[in-house]
Amino acid sequence: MSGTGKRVLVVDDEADVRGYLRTALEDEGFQVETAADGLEALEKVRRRPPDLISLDLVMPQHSGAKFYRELRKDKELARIPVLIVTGHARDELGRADFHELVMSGPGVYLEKPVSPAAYVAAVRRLLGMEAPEEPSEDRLRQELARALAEADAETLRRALEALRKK
Amino acid sequence: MRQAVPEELDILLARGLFEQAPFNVAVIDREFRVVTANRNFLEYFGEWQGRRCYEVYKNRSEPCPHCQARATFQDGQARVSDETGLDRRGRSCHYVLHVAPLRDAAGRIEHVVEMTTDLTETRRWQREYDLLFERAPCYITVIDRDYRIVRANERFRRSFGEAGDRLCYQVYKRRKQPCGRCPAALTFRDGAEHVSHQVGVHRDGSPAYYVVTTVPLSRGEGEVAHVIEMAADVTPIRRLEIELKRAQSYYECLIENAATAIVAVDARGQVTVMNPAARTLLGWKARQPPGAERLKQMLPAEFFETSAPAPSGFREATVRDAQGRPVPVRWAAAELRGRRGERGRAAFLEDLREVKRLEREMLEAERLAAVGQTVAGLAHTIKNLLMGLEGGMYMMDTGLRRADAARISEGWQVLQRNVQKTTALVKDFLSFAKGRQPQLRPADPNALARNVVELYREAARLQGVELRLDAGGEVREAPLDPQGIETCLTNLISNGIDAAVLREQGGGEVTVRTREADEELIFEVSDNGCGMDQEVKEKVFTTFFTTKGGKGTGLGLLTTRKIVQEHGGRIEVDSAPELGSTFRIRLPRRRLQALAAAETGGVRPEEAP
Repeated sequence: MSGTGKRVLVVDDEADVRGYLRTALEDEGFQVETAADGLEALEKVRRRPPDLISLDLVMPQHSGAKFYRELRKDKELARIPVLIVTGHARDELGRADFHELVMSGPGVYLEKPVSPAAYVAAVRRLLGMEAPEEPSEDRLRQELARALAEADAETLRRALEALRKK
Repeated sequence: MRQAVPEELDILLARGLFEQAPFNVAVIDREFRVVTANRNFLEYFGEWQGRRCYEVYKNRSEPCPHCQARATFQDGQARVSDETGLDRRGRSCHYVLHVAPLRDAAGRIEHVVEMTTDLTETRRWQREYDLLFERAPCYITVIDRDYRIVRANERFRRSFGEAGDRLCYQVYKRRKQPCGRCPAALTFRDGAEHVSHQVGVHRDGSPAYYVVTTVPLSRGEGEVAHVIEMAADVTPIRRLEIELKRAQSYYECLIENAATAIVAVDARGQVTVMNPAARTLLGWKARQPPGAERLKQMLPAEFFETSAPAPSGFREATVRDAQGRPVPVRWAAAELRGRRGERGRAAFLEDLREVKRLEREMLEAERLAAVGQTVAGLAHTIKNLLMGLEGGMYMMDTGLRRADAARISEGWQVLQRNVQKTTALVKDFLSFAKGRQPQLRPADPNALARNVVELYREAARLQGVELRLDAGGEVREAPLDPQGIETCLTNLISNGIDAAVLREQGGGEVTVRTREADEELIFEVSDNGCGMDQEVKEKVFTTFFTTKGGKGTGLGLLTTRKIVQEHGGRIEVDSAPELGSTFRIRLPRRRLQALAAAETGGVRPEEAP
């Protein structure tokens, strides 16, 4: 796949999550760097500001919230769009941070778990990139399979009817 | 004209009269010599023979300045005067003197007769009466049938002003009409004595409370003409009475409305006070308070012990209500002392049923809150695992599609790892969630701490960390779940060792401390490791996060907190980056006792160890 020329910094304390998001983005032609906590992320952002930061909110060392606040202090860095990827959007642990960062901040968040398609789409949207005109058959089948897996009986019945009409 | 009396009878009469007259008679001549005197005179004034009248009467050496006899010698007129002289014993005496001329056949006055009547007694009575009337320690007035004040004594005039021909009710009460319940009216009607309480107005306008007695003074034609009113002013007493009543009703009001149950008994154990709070607490519905014996079945025995009825401060006990049901209370007693020793004692009781219930509810609420936080933390952990699984599946999927063996292998490893993590989580979580109920039994906190420290000392040393025990000498036995507390200490020690290991300069130490403070049993585990910043500190108990990479599930501190909460305690942390952390378990002894009591209250069979 051709490169987008955009660089994304993925910040998450879980190595597997980092690996997953990195792979998903790289597959869509993004350049990806990762950081395991806020400190590392700050260091990397300062060394070489990315085009977008994908940020987990709750992390043991130097949380995402703290990192975000640090980021806002630097006028240059404050312009970098931030995509929040969190498991705590609506529970007691993340609510305060969530309000501060999402509602009064970037305004875009994804709640874990997140599908590769939805994740990449959100990244594209934040970067102002058009989605690929013609999604590959691969992608269409994947999305359909996912939709079917999550659908209730009624939806399945209607989907089947639509397919049969064709 | 009188019929002529035979001369012989005349002489007899004169002599008889002279000697038998009930007063003193003396005859004196122009030289004031006493010529003759009767026996009464002799007895009253003493020897008179050969003496002048002024010598006899007054022990004077010359005639009196206002001599009555001299005037009668001159003008022949009879005279009356009040005189003061000396009786035969030399005592002052008072008498009335009548002087009358004695004319001889030629009509000349050569002698006068002096008749004296003793007034000494009468005068004294009068003085006494006046004194009594004026100075009696009560108001005395004499009124006529129109209620007009005929006489009033000095005390009355001082308190009510001059009576001056005014009416009784005008002066006493500033009324325009006679009083409704007038005792004088009754006395006028029936001639008997009457007593009644009245309220009037002093001359200064202040209220006058008095008790008046009305007595008939004189009887005219079958009806009472005058009445004496004697009134004792009881205003000061009445004021005291009013103040006393006010004070009494004030304190009664306080006692009646106190939220604290108050029961007081007199020296014989009879109930004198039982306020509504006490009736509620003891479930006592009868109008009459319980008798001495009945009360003994209800209140703590200590209350009735003669030696020490007043434990200082409140303490907890169980009393029995009217139905014999136990009621937990905080109570104190006080001895009620008069001038002459004990007059009784009082018990002050606070109903703890509600407090106990709230305490139970709070423990329950804390437990539920812990469950809520656990669920939130669990959800986050599961979301992360799902993220991992999602990633693994994506890699497998795309790897298969592209026939990229390296990616398939990587994806497979991610899947494997996350499935393993899920398994570990489920295992830990089950042991956390389905943990055995804590079994509180008396245990020595220091012994528990020592066991765990000894168990981990060697393992710590192998990692270059010194594990120490600092057992407080004041630490007493407490109802604890030994297994639970050991789990807590194990978790904290293990965390402490992990933190101390990370010390770059070496010399890692973990110290376990036990102590007592403010009625709390305290366990502390301190390390000199890397410490935590504010963010981590705030969330350390509220999330499943772990600082140990894939090693931990983040359940250690949650499990510890759960056990601590099941002991009615709380866990807190002091930490500063680079300085280390101290985790502190605080177990209020009151709550431990309450939980232990609740546990033995239920019929839970002893669990096999």
